[in-house]
Amino acid sequence: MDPSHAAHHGGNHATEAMAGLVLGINVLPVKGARVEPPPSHAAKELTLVIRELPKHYGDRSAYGFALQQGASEPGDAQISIPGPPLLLTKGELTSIKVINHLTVETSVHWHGIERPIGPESIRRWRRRSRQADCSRRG
Amino acid sequence: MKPPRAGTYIYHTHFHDDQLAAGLYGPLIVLEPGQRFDPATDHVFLASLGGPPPPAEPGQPAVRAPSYLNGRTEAETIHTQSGTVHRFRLINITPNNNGLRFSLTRNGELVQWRAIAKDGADLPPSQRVETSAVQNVTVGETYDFEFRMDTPGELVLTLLRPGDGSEVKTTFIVE
Repeated sequence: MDPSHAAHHGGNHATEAMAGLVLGINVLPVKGARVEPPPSHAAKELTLVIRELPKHYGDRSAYGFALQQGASEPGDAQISIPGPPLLLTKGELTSIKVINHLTVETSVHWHGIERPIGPESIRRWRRRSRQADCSRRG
Repeated sequence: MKPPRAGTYIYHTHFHDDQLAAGLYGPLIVLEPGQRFDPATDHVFLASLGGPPPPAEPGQPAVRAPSYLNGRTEAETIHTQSGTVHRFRLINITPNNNGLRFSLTRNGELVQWRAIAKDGADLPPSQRVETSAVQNVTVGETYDFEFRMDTPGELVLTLLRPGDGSEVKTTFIVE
């Protein structure tokens, strides 16, 4: 990897770096080729919850992820650092719902996943009043 | 999302200065269809920064937060059986610790492991070679190595932060 990657990791991409000159390229199928419509339902659906753990590092908070198991949203006790391993399968359509319980906006970048350039690639979730802001990625 | 390749990846916030150091990251493992993830032999070793930098004392240099290996600073022990083949998925998702170094030793000597993937891409056969088991991993990189636990005894996987010499270790007890 280019060592400069580390240098550009010094800032907050979501607010400072990934704006301005961005080029989008659409690759179209060969004329006349049959295009399969995307399936309407993901084969795998995950819910990833983000919570703040106050006074985790001395007086400072930790932020962490938890993966929902079953019908109930995970609480603080289920938050882990690092976040839980996400086990996906090559070629399997997967939906990950991210629920942000922080008092600030955040973002998630998924390495190795090809997403359209722009807000679909690195999305910011902002919490509004007491309502958690959810975004679903199909 | 539809993962296009099987391999070792990361998910993380892009708010690096505060949220990344505070814990918003994790391993993203993409498996081949039908492949099973077996944590007994498939090991994720994720290096990160153990929290935001502590506040500096007046007139003193800034203090760095410790290195985390899978979210811990303490040594860990894993028991395993001889004859088993293990996969090591090495990840650096610190905000800016470029030269973190992973190594695998027996009695203080580097063993030989086999490189099998880099940044989620399987290596071609010509590059899947045995090398001395030491690897620098910079920010955002992943490396996968394979090692056969063929000799009973102890093996130590060490994460070294060369800047201050701090280490976090995992010991494999091969029975």
